[in-house]
Amino acid sequence: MIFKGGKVVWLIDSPNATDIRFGKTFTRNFYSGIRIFNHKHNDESFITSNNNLLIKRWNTSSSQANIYGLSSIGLNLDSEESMYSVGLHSDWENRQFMVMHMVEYFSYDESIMHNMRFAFTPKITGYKDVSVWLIGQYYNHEVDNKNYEKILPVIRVLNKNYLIEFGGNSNDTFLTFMIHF
Amino acid sequence: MKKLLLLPLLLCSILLSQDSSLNVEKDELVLEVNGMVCGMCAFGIQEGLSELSFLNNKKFEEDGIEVDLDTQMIYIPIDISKTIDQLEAVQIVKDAGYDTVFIYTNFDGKGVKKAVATKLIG
Repeated sequence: MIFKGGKVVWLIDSPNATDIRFGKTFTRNFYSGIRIFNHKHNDESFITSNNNLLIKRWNTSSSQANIYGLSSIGLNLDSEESMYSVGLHSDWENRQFMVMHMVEYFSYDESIMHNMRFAFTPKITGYKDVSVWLIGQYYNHEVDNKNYEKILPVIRVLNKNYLIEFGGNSNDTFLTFMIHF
Repeated sequence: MKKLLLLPLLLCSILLSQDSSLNVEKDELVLEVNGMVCGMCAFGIQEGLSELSFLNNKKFEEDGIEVDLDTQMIYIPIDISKTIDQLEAVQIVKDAGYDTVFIYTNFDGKGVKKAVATKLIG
């Protein structure tokens, strides 16, 4: 969800999924787009139409909090069966700290994915400056009573409408690229 | 009854009061915006405000407007030969997902006027 009329391209390669998204924010609280993703635990790929609804936003001086409802409907590209997902995203951030939690349910395997983040920037920067954030990221994908858990350190580099994140540990890597326009 | 009579006066004083702590030029509209915590937030607002009908995009290079994340202020250079619709700017900020709390102007050069933005947009 970005500004009204704004478009986003978002590429994510995480330990649990590879995810490519393109979409547009049509109103201040409604985003719609295309999402193509692959779940790595079973190597299944999907194409969906996904919609995000801003349920509530709190803007205060130098901080912001949000609750979003997430939904998508689409096809499993391997089996051609239909699938849907629903989720909830909540976050709070100010100019130095950020916390986020996202939970998504996927119908095709009845799995639940949690994604949590805690982030801070050691240096608060101005609008035109490059901003660097240090992030602790936790994933949990619950499938068939098995938990695929990951904890990763991630570095975020942000400048205006460009965002790059990279991280990893001895087993996994994480990469994100996002552009708003 | 006295309290009721004083209420309109109190509202007017809140709505339009002098603010000497901020430097606002005659050809600027300054917005104090809540929730503007990062560059990506400000980019969305900047993109919207670049479409303003009364923007003078020659005053500030590159971005058209100036953003100060420390003070949560947005400085919009205006073309004084055009009609200045403050509500248009406030609505653009709202469409970007943020809330304008105060609008500062100094059109007559006699001092900064501070207005409550929510009174404009409801």
